[in-house]
Amino acid sequence: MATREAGKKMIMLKSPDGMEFEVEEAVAMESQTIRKMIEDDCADTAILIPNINSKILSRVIEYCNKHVPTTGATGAAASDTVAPAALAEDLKIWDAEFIKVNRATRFDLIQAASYLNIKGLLDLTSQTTIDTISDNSLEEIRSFLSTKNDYLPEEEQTIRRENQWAFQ
Amino acid sequence: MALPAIPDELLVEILLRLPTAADLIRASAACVSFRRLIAGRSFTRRFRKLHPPPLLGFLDTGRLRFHPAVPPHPSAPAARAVARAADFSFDFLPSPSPYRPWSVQDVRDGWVLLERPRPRPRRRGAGLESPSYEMVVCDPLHRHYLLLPRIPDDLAASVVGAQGFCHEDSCLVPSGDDEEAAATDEASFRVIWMLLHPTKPVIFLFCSGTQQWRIVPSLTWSEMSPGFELPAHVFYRLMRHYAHGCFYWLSYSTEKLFVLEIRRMEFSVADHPPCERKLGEDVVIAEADQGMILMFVPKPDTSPVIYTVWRNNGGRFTQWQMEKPITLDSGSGLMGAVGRHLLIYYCGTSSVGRSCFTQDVNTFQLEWVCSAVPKQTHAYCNFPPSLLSSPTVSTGTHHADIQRAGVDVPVPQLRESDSGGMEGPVIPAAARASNPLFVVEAAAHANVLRQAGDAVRVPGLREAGPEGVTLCNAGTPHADVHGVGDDMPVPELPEADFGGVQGPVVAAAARAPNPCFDAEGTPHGDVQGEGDDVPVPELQEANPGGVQGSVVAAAARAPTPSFVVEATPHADIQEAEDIVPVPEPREAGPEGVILCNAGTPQGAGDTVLVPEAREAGPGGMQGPVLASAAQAPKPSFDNNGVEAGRGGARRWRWGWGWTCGVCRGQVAEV
Repeated sequence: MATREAGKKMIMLKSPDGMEFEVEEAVAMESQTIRKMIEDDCADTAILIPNINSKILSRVIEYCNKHVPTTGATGAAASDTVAPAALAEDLKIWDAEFIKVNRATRFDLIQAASYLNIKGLLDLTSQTTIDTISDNSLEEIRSFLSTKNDYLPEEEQTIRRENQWAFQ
Repeated sequence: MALPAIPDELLVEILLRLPTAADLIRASAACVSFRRLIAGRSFTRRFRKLHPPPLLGFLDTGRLRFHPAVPPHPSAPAARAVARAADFSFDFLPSPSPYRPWSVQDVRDGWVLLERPRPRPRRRGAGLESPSYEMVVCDPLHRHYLLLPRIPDDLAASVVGAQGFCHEDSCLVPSGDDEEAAATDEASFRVIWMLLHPTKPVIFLFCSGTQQWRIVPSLTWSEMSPGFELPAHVFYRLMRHYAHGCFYWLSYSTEKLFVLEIRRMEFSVADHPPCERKLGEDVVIAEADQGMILMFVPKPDTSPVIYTVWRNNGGRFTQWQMEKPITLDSGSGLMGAVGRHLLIYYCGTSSVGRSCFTQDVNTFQLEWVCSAVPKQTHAYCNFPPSLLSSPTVSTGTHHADIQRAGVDVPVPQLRESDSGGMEGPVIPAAARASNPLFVVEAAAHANVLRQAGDAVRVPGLREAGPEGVTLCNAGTPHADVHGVGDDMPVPELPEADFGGVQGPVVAAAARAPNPCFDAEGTPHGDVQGEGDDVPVPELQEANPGGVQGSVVAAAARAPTPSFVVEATPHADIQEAEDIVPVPEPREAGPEGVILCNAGTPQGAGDTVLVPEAREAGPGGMQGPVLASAAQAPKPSFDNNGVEAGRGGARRWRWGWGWTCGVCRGQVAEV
């Protein structure tokens, strides 16, 4: 990995379970959190990413690799020949594939995207969750977002009564 | 599956992306913590920023009527809820006067700006009139209002020695991304008062946050556009438009547009597209993608109307680019735009009938809104009554420190009140709350049973924000309150439901000499005379303990007499057999009874007096006025001997002065 072409600065990311990921700086800087660390010169050797295990971190890096502006990891040659619209379309398809993960992984990804402040990934993961929610009943929403109904029956009744229009 | 709970910050990210307020409400019903997250100020602020309030209908500013969006429009349920809860007749505004009626000037984000001439015009010639109109901004949904102060004389005088004729316009400023807006919240608004002087435009800006006017610096006409002179007749039909952060004023008498960029409050002069315009035909400006604006200019003498379409990059005016013209169906025309939606009316003869539509300028998707075509109209966009639309101009108070009935509570800052105004100690309400963060806003005394001591259902709770409690809504007795900081004894509390909060209004009501809360509102528009059949309005399940209103009459024949009513006009009940104007009915909304007439602002430290009995107007409501009388040292009115519980026969005056005898003697039976 260290043999990448010159001029591309590499950054080492470490997950708490001991794995190390060497990524291009441009890719790592898709994360605003890491960007800030780099800009503040807090990233000399390796950056420890707390709370994000290697499995999730590798997926996040995969996402960033794909989404880094086109001169980056996706290959400069491709971006010269492909129209921007087609590229965007391609990215959309890629995203749709990428997010086909189980629920636990998705929440891990939301958490990682939130911590690392990667807007695109946060939008993608949250929006997919919303799409899942909006088609479902209240009971399914509860189960999906792992919460329990802790309203008193009267309270729930009140909410429903006061917002009848929203439950039609 | 036993997944660990999702941290709040992730939930926020997810819930923020719910597309509509209805989705949000449903999600808030999932569990208590969701609701708390969603009801939080920072959440609602972010949500409102991500999702512009939907178009809910049209406000007919001539007849002061609201035409809600109807199915299959996606906003129909929300619009219906607003139509029920809001008062678009503006009866709650202060000191109504037939000689100086309020007229709607602008509508934006749920706020309505109204104006009327000042009572005694000041002498002209000594500087600017500081608005020559009295201005009020109100929220018809929650019946809050704020009378705008005059512009201080020195501020006005410092700007222009008012020479020559000038045109004025006033409008509500959309909330933007600028710092001023960011520092405020959804409960705030800004108003512009603009004057076009022969030398320069003069713009005053009012912020509800500071409650003050300030002046916005501007260049002279010649500095903005060398050689430009304000034509003497520029004022002929000067029409205002808004798109992508800019106001545009267009006139027939100049080929220039006046542009006000609201983020920096920068006024400029721009060129009109190079096309002919017909007098009396209005152009429409809509928002296109990428900050572009589209101007639709009707071609003179075409039928059906053809609109030439011009594209520009908004604030930075360069060249107008002509797009493909559009032709509307015969009988239709553009009546304005909201964001990227054109508002189209149709008065043609096809089976569709008179209707309003919206059309997205980007996708061309056409949506039917309603079947009314008001002549003078403003689009009404807002969030429906819910967690999201709780704007209030009042100051509120926290009650977390109240532990039980009987504790002394410091009086919150007092606000101005009109002659009938009262400040309500919603405060003690929290006394019984299981969660003292929740306070009652308005007491729903429709639920008060016939006599003191009866069980009372607790009205809806909402989270108390820093400005959460709207005291004016709660109207209650406190003749003994004299100023900020006074201690006020918490009134005796009646029974409340489990976990509930009990507003003292309710308490007071229960103790009123005349707990006749069954004299209630009803729909009576259709009642013409004795013996008429009364179409029963849509029924709602009555709460246990719900009071039957004067629907009673109608209800006697209704398939089911379970209609819940709210407000009550008892101020003018003097005795049995009295004629009582029936107020406009509303369905009980989340806020319970809004007693807006009762509460009003005046100023910290003022003495608050128990008001005199006032006549309730046909649309008026005087809920707790009655209650307050009960507790006042000197009850100004006491409803002598109206014995509601016994159901003494009463006559009711219906809409046009007819007397309905049907209900005589039947009140008690229902």
